[in-house]
Amino acid sequence: MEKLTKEALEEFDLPGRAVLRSKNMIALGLISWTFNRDLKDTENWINEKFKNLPEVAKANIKALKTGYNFGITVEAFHHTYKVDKASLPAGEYTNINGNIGLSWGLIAGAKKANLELFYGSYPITPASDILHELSKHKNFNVLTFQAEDEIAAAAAAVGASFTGKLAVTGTSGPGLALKSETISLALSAELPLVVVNVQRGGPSTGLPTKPEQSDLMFAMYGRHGEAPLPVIAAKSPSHAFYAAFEATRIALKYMTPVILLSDNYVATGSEPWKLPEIESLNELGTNLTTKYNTEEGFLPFFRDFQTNARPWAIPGTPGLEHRIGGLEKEDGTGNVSYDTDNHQYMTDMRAWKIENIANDIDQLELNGDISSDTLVVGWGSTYGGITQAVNRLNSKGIKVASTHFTHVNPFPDNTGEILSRFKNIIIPELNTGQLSKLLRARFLVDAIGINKVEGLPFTAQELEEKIEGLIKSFSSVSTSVPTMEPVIEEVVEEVVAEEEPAVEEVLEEVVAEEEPDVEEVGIPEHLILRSAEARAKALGIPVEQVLEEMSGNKPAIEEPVAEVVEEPVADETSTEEKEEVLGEAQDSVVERVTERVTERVTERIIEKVDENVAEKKELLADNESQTDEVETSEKEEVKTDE
Amino acid sequence: MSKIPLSYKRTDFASDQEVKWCPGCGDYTILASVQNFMTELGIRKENIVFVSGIGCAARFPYYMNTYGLHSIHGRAPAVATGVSASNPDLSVWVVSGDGDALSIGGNHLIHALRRNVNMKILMFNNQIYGLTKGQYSPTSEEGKKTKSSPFGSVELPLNPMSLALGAEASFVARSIDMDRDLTAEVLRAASEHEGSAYVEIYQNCNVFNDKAFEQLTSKEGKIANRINLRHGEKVIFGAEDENAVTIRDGEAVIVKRSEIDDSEIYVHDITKDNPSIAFSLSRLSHGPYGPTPVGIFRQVERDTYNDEVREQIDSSIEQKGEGELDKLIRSLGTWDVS
Repeated sequence: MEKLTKEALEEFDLPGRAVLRSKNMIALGLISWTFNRDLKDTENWINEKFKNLPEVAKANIKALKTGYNFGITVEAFHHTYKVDKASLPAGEYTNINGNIGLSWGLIAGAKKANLELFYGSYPITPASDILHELSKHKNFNVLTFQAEDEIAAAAAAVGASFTGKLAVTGTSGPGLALKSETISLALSAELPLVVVNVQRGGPSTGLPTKPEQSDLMFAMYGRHGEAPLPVIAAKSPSHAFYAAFEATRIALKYMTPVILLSDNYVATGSEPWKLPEIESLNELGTNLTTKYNTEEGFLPFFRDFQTNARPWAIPGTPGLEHRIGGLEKEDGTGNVSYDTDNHQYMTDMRAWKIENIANDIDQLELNGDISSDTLVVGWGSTYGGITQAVNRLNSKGIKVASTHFTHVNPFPDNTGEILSRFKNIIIPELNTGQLSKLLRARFLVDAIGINKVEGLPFTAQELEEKIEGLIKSFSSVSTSVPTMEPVIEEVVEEVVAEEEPAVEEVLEEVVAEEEPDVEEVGIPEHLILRSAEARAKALGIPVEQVLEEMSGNKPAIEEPVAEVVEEPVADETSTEEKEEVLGEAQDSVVERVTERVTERVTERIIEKVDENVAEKKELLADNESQTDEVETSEKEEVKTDE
Repeated sequence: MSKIPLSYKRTDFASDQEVKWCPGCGDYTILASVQNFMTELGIRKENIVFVSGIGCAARFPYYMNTYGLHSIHGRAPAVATGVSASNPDLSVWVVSGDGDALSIGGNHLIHALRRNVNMKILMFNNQIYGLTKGQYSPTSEEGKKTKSSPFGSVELPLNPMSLALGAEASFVARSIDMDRDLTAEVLRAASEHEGSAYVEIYQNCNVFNDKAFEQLTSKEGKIANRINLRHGEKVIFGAEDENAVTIRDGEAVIVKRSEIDDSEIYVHDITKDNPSIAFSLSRLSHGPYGPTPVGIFRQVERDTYNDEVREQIDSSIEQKGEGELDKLIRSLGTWDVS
């Protein structure tokens, strides 16, 4: 190619080294021929790029054409390709990568919250471009702080947050490890903070330039103590904009650190982005305050009834001077407290505050064939691959649906319901099965992972094949059933008769399991009472009055509170009131229990039928048993891929 | 920051929290000095922020009726950088100890000083880990026997003044907890200084390291060993002013006054751009043993991080106008799909 370049540019009066710089254009020309691309756009681009050096522009265009013509003349490859224009919805587009999208999302968040943006960061691959991008846009009131280390980057952001800025710190895996203690401080002091983690291959220095989704568990649990916080994941370069905006909204609304996960694939990958109407982005509310929140003064841990967020009073505000920190605080006053009950309460409250966000976020949506038995579940950068794979399978007539998490903590409210609609759950992840573990633990689903950590994203084709293989393995048993119909009927009858006494047994089991769930029906009762007590103490009014006030905002406890007011004999009514809440809760529990018992008994019956059928099959015909073996081994083969 | 005459009393700066240091702790004296001194500062208390890390000294913000942030071990200078850079109108005070500032937080300390972020760093040096009940610290003397060094520490201690001067600190001073006047004088100068001000305060831990500073605080020691550094004054000390500091081959040395001509006595100049002499003064003692300089070592004017950062933002807004999101998302070029 060097020779080709020299020959092509002989006529130009350029020094030797400058000539060789055009080598890339020979290559581009050859590639353009291979893919049947018109050269016009590239020529325009070259002319624009070198508009002050017309000679260089001419040389580059000559090189480009030489490469193209070389392809035509020697027919370097047997095949050429034509990639048609993508069909995109009409609109105005820009080309964006995830780091830029994320940076702009943060700027938009700050702007819509009417706050200045503080970004503390220490250079790290692949997150540094966020620091580079934000440091360009100082005219958006963006203050970027290149800290001495990862800890200082986070710590300065905490300081900025205390001062009333939209505070953000960004890093990749190793840096997140170093920031862990500081994130706990923000969590304990209940200060808003967005923590960006652009994931790369780990552990340790790992694969700094390769994508991996292996920090999910770390984002969820990587802090000392009971320290839950919201986790949001960007699923594509353009989505990084919205994910950052959403992380900002939640941090500010709930006074909490939020971890925003991106990864190397999202961060450095580009895609066309249909530009949003800026006006369509919501204004973001904050908890900023300049006023006393009780008659006696300002209480920094006096919570909002709806969100349980504390007020955000910033230095410079007269009369609201207060001290906060990482030591456990008394609810309400925020004074240091080693009180055991208070610590239990604050731990529960911090957890509840985050859990409560589940009904304030976008619910899961389904894509593909929703009549399917199989759901492919993803999060983060696997979105494109999964969606394409599922759509391709659908167009081949294979039934499968998909759904994608942007919010990984808390999961959207409808997660359990969506998962329960499908028999088989498949979770592709660029890790060894982290979301699988989370969903198994939380929703008791038998999730099957498609996992790899090869430093590469999934291709749609790869997922298509693996998902198809799994679906075949799911249906291999049932496909042999039709030939056995009469046998099955017989077996079903037998098994049902046998299993009848088991219904009761299952019922007991399920009831036992469901009991702890009673609390989930509304805000945990002890939190309501405790919160009311703190407020009552602060305001110097009876608890009942506070409960009444609270009921205005929390319909879930309306009834019990109304009763308290009618009958001021607090102790007795509170028992009744408890019973009533429990009663309501129990109704919905009974429903759930019935559903689950039916489900489980059915499952048992099906299992047993399957077993017995298989046995009978073996006895019935040698030929058929052979087929069955083949199918079973197929199933196993696919499973080893997990 | 506007300075207006305010009629604050000391109690206005005391929070409603019970002070929980050990009885007899030097921290009480420092707290009283600071609360007193705050009344003369002329800064409204809502504009004052105390930031601390972890340790006995780090409890300080809880006792000040100002804004306060009790952060995590060693990170106070970093947290305070965020506070100070975010709002240049605030008077930001970091309260730290020898373990917090010089051990776990050494990195943040030197970089805050280097950047000249507008904050006042009070480093209470008691040469011991008090909150964790008595282990040797990075300023404990060699041979120090503690719970974690039963055979004596084998580590050379840091010289906190030398460290700060080496880190390009623009204001470096030392005081002693028992000397309220000196503390107030040093703090006043620190508060007026634009940029980072670093003040080491020798603080007695009467439980785990009692009398560590006796050579500078006892009746005789006070007179014999304190080298008071005062800007524009000859550096002489001793009961009868019999000792002096002079500069030989670029190094500060202690001599008998009778041995030199008075004109050879070093006249202290805190404003020298070159920190060599200040550094050399810091080497006159490597701890509170024997003749030890106290007072302001160095105070030079240097651009602050806060101003520089703010200036870039302001001039960017001036040149490009206040940022508009519509323009931002189109800044990489757009195309239409119809």
